[in-house]
Amino acid sequence: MLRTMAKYVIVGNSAAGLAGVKAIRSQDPFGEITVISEEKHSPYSRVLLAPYIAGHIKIQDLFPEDQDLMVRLKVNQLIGNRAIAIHPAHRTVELETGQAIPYESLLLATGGRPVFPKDLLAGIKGIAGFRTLDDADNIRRQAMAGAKIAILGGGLVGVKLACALHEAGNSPDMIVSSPHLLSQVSDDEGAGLVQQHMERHGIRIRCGVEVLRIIQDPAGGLKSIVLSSGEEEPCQLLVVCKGVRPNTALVDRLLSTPSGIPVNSRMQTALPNIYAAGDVARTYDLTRKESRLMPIWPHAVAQGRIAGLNMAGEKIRYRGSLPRNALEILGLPFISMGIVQPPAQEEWAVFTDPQRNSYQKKVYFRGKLVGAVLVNRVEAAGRLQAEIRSAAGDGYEHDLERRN
Amino acid sequence: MLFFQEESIKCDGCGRCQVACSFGLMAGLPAQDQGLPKLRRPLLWLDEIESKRRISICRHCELPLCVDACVSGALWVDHASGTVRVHQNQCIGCYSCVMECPFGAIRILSPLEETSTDGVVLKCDGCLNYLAPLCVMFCPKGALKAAKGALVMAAKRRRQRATLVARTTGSSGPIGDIVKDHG
Repeated sequence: MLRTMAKYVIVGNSAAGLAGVKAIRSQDPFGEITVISEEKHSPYSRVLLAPYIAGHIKIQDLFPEDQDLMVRLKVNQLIGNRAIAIHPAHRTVELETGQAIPYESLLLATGGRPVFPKDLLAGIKGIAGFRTLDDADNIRRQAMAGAKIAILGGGLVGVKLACALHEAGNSPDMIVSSPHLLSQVSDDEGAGLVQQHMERHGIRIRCGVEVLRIIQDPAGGLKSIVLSSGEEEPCQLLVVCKGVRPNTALVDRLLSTPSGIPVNSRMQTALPNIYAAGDVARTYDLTRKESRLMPIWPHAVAQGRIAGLNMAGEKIRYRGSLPRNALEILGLPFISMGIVQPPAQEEWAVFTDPQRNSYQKKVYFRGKLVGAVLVNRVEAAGRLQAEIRSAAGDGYEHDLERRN
Repeated sequence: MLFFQEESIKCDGCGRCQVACSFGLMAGLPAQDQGLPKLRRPLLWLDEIESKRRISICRHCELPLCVDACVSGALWVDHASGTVRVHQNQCIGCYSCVMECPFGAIRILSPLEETSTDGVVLKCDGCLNYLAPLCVMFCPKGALKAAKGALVMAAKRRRQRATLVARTTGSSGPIGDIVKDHG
């Protein structure tokens, strides 16, 4: 007997969602695929937003796929539509419009949203995040108009944005609360090289400083910011780059999601026929040996693909995530992987190779490579990643044991 | 499909493959762009790994990690010739591919270095203008091998992959983050 057509529903239209769609279609040519997305744009690459602001690429190059891909893949697109609830008992997704979309398997690829410090409420004119195409357009417009821009946060996104603005001809200030830049992905020595390089190009970076309060002009716009160092800096646009928080609202009622939706090696959540992938999913970190959020683009693509294949009936497992980042900082290459700041204990060993204008660091745990930082000498990165992965093995072996 | 095999035991690191590669890249260029001063950068490298010189060259993988990682669509698989290729004008130099390639076979020219006529991203182009890749033809030790043709490929590639995986991971299963589950 013929099976009735499967119904796949995907919430989210970015890296993980798109990879999921392609994976499902590669296995199931006839199933009905519906994509629900809050953003009104076709899938675009968030990684390219910084080069877009810098003026290196045009807006049409932000879309990695040709515009008719979704039509070719026969996908029902509900873009500009927000999903507000899931009803696992009825197997439906409820939209803001009141419509209920039935599913047989559901992929949550809802991504994340920028974190705003509580006292600097989002929504005030002149305070923005940097995540979506609309954010990028807004920042780009203001940069072109010559606004004084400050960037709060010295992580990867902050650094990328600062460089992009610099290349676009605007000179931003960076305000970093940690003692050095890139504190999540680098030690102070590697980050020091990056900071020197950026400062040589005229980007002002202040570390160990917080924004105490903001001062608005009578029209309600941003006028200046007051720093913990006592200074008052004029600033028309403050971009908050303090990381992202997973969009778990759809399942908060149904699951415990302290930081992301926990998934197994097949990207299944604890709810039947519901999968999660990308920035919203909590996966196993191969180097830290624990499950956590690692919101980076390549993870989203790999997880979306695995979720899609499993939804379409394949049996494919994920090996685990290896947090890693490659960055080009005004010509200076920077690559970081795995654990880069180990605790000072006997089991850990660190080898560094600092040179005048380059830096390499390797971190070993019980003789196995678990992390590396490479600045300006990055050819070895791919081999090192292979070494870390081979030493780490399969992160989800315990999943298998439980099943057997 | 193009396919490379590198037998590091035979390789003594003489570097003739690099020279051949550099010269080969000048073929077909107008006369004023030829000659020693215009020598192009080679698209393969000799790297010191565990105190032995090893060849870093693109294997033109079937499921290339670099292509998966490419954020701008510059890297692509040319199924007709079985090679992994680059649209130079689309590369934004983000180093994602450099971070992924387990063979260390992709390099990016830093804008900090002197500008040259070479592209932004350097990787093996498969010597499609030649009968066989020049590095293979000029290797005096027979340490590099290449094969063309879709049918030879499947079996050979599987074997190569298995040995590679055994060598680099000490376990079976593909490199990367995906495992086919037979359970």
